Amino acid sequence: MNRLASRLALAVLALGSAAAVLYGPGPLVVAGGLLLAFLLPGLALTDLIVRRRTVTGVERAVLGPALSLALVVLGGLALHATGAGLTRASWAWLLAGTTLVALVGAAFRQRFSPDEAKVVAESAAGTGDTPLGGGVAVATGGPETTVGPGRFLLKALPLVLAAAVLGGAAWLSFDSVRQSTATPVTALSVEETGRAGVNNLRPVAVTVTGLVEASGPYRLTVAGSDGVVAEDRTIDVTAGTWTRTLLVPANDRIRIDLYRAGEAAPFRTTLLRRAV
Amino acid sequence: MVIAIRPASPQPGGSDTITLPAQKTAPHVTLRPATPPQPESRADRLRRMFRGPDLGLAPAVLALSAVGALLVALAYDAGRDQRGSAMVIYWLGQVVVFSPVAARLLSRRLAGAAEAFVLVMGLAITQYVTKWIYSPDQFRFPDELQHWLGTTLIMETGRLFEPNPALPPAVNFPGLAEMGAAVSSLTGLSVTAAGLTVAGIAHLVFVGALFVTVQRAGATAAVAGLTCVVYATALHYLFFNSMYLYQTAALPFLMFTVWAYRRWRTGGGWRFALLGVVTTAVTTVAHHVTAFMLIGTLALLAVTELAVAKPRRWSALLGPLAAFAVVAAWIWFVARDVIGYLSAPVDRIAETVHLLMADKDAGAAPVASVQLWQLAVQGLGLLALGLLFLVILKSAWTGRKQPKDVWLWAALAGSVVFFLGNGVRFLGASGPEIAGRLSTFTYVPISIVAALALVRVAGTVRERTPATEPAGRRFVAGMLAGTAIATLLLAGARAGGWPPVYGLLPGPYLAAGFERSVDDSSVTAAQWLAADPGHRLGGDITGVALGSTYGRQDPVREAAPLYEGPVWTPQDRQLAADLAIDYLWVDRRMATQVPASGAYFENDPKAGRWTSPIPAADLAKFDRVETADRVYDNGNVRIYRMGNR
Repeated sequence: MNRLASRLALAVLALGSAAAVLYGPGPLVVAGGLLLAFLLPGLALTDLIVRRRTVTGVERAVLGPALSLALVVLGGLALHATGAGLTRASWAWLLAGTTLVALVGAAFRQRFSPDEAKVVAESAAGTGDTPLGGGVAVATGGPETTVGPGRFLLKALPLVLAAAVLGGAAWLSFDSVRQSTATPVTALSVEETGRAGVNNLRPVAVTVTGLVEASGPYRLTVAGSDGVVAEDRTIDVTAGTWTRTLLVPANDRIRIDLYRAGEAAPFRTTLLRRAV
Repeated sequence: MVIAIRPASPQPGGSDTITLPAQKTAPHVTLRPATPPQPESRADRLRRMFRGPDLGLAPAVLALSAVGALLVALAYDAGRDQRGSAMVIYWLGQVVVFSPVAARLLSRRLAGAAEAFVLVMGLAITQYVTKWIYSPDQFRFPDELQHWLGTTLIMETGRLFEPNPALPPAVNFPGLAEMGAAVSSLTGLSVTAAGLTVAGIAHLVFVGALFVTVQRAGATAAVAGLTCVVYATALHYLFFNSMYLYQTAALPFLMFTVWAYRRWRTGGGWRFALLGVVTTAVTTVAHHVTAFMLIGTLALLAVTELAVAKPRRWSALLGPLAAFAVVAAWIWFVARDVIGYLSAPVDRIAETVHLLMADKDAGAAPVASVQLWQLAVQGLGLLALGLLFLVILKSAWTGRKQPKDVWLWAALAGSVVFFLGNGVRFLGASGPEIAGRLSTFTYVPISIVAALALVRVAGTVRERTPATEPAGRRFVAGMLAGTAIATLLLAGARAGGWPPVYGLLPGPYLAAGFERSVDDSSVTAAQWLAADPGHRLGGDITGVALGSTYGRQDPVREAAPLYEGPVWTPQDRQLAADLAIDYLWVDRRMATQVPASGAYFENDPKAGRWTSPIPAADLAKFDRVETADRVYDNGNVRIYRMGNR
């Protein structure tokens, strides 16, 4: 693919990604967003800033995501400074727009810059800074060997196996976490929701979350400081969460206990001090 | 004996002279490239388009390495179920992940840069997976939770620099949060999923940047790859530097700045200087300490160049000066509060040094007890690094009369800083933390030096004269020795790095165990707090971490004295009032376990001195406080609303 074609492809991909992010369905949003955040702007900026032949393929591969992230950081500051706000649309326009501008700039640079091969040759010959190693322009480490497409695919095949094994490790871990957190946390909470009325009763919202059907039916009691139970309710556990507003004495310390079926000791307890 | 970064030939008779590949008698070890690269012709490029790089055995090696990740996943599963075999499987998995890659990079049959690069990136991915599957569904480390909040605030407000009570200094270094918010906004993923993705990509970019930087310094692909492999044994590589923390976002840009500086110094032109300024700016916006270390790194490179290179070019100083200007401008105009934040631990170190000089007790660091085997493994690793350093130092010294390789000498100087930095860990309470943080940066030069030495140990350096090549058996022995050294370094990093040994495996709740303290009980309690945000919350380390992030409360980190004693005293009441505590977090499990990390609380007056759990009566006293409500109870965590509102 020549350079013009690759730039056009990159531009189309950037616009497509922005469109997917703004208007696309779920999976396309994710794919478009990841491309815009991690790859496309960086590739375009690499094309703009450094001459193609002065960086190796490995360097380009790393510069792509690095410059994309750099644009996110510095571009985000610019968005904030201009008051545009950091929203999905502003991110998408920033990243896709910069990609397009960089590609256009790279095309202009190429058109009006000296021949790159000449630049490489000059650079390789050194620039007089011999103490630092002769002005290396392209890859070091000896000639890179290549193989035909068939052999390349055959050799790369174990990478598929590696990806599958890593995927298996991830699945195993998710399943392991899910099993280790299978039991819900049953919690009792209380919150005053208003002031005491003329009858000296104050409204309190009592909430029980994480109810387990096997432990039900639960029982909730409300008692004063003398220990006398003023209210005793059975709780429906099917919904998993139970909330009621109760009226309790304002001039007494209140104890609210939650019991599991068949247990005499409270399972959860909250305490409310006397109203001020 | 001959050492060269590229395949080279020895002097007849096996003299001790070091040989440059391009010069038969060049007498010293160097990072410089052997031959200047040639421009590629159009025909060559066309031919290359239809061919792929030779990946050698990298895919097969990485498949084997992935099996190691599966073993680690099995170990984590066993850890969650408290099965006895978990730790053995864990260590086996770690070795299987790491050692095949190290061995392959030490092989003489490495196909080239593509194979080395694929190997190190594959290793980085596999190791990141082993980090991720520790807690695949949520952040558990306190600092990650703090950055989760910072990112969430950007998502909610669409603005930067919103106050983050969980980690105030991070507000003025929003680089990571911007990345996370951008990915979350663009993809619709949750902040947690976006954060895990950003951390993973940043981690990979860092490794890639390290690879290309070392390669640009003139090293072969094998040495560049081995540098990344050795760096993977840094104390904080696997967790702190891969977590969703602002340092993770800054590190790749530090390395890219060094790369750009190298390109600029070697005739790359103003474009690379400009790129360096941009990456310096990103580093600065992302993380304060990394920005300071970047100035230090560029200063080290510049000073070394001025010291050893002839003719002397003062323009080398422009790099560190430009970095200083960028960092100083950001701190002056945006992040002035960071000076106070960072000076506190440094002041504590200075105080400790002062006390030691005065022969007074400086106090022990509040850390969990370290077992003898941990010290032994770490000590052996340090010893191995010292020996590898001496190997290269000797070679460099032998060739000191020759034109000097600036970056090799800079790497040696940086390695000295690494060894000195290890001494900081013994300086008071902040010592271990500062030493660990320092090693993130100083481990780069020692990794380069160790990689150079390892290829020598392994005999990877190919001889030009077949007759003098090491015999196959001898080479295999050398390769195994090199792999064993690298694996020893890895074991030292896992034993002394993060998580601590008590938390190497996920599992049931541990009191003050950082990741191991975050479970459903504590997360549910914190989420309950979020319904009434913005109040002052006191609690243990985990309670404050979760309550200030998921719970959106203002953390109080000085509440430890309130938990002491079975009676709520007037002093307690006064302290609670002075600290304006609205909510108090009480995890009853503190009464069943001593703190795994040595301290239940931040600013714990009994840090490092807990020999038994907090008495249950001390935690039950809050029920008898007349002015407090127990407003939440989930069995493990109780939350009291104090009468200070």
